Amino acid sequence: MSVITISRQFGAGGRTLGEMMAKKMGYQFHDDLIIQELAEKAKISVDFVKSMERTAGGKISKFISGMLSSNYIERLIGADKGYLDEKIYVDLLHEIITKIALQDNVVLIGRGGQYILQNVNGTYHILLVASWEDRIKFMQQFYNMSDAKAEKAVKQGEARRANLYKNFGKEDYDQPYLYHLVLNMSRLSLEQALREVMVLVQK
Amino acid sequence: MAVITISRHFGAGGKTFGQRIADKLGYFFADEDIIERAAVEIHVSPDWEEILELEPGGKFQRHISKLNPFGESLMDRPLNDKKRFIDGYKYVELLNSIITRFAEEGDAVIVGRGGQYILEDFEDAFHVLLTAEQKDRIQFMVDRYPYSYNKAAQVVKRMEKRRANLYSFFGRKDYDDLTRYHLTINMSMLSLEKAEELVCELVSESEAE
Repeated sequence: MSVITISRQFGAGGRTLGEMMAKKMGYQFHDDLIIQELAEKAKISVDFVKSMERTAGGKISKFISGMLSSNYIERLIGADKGYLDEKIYVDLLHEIITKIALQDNVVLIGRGGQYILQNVNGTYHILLVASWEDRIKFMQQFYNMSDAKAEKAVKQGEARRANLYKNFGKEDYDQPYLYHLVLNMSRLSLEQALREVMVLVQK
Repeated sequence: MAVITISRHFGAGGKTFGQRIADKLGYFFADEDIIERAAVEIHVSPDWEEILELEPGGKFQRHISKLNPFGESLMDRPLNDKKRFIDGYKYVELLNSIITRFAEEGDAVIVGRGGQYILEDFEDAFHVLLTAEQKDRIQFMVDRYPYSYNKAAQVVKRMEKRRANLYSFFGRKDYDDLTRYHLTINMSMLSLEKAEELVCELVSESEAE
């Protein structure tokens, strides 16, 4: 009976851990790409919401497709289709993540979950960190990059992260006091990390 | 066979926590007062050099256990470190010998005193950082000493400076870098019991061996 948010330094991993949690603990897993896509598309087209309702399978689960009413989208977007407003984006993230969290046994990654669901009962916030070298290695392995390119990619990833949080007006996203637990993926295996999470949420 | 080091932001709790974990796991426990006492003993008594040379097998841990810790804890000692009669760098050398010995003998919980640095590359060591929100750390002091909230806040600040001071003799400034530790636990959000379970889980694999 829990909601878990996973935040992470860029290149510390997270998706794999989230998927493992979903598998082992029977949690539903929502990663940031899906949430991102939702928010982006919802900003752009009301029709998108309608088409989601029509689509049976696909990347976005039926549960999510029921989440955004066309009324809500119309209210937000009005006549300015495609208008990129940061405030609207953050509002959408709030709306989406809050609704996801109403489900039990959910793990969601990124997109400010640790702020949106701060102090919500039954929600656990986890931060994943890793050494700079390991984060670069992660990029190299994942995307087959050279040292220099990988380092640049990590720097850019962190810059984008900082940018997202600027939209929330926050700078303290790497501070441990925001989280129940910080897991160092440079020192813990995925299995160890998973066991720690399971201990965290068990009654 | 495992060693757990517990480091913390001042006021996050650590001593009682470490003792309880040691009790739970049946491990040897060394907090700052115990280590401090050992350091002084070794510094002043030539016989102790021999004891440091002893074969592993728990002998050093046992010798230390027999010592009576100082009547007053490090905490209560006047905050003026100029009274210390061991030079800072010599002190760190002693810490190194002592903590390494504890670790080599295995199954120990070590609180503070740079354990996370001394045992940084030690294979069977797990490093835990305890943190808490500032207001809780101040409250920690208020609960234990006859301080007003403001006085407690000052003391917390000063103790953090002392922490930084110790680490300067290690030549390290990254003691708040979360990648120095396996696990960082927020004592403002979790119960003592839950925090204990999280730490004990770390060593569960080693215990199973």
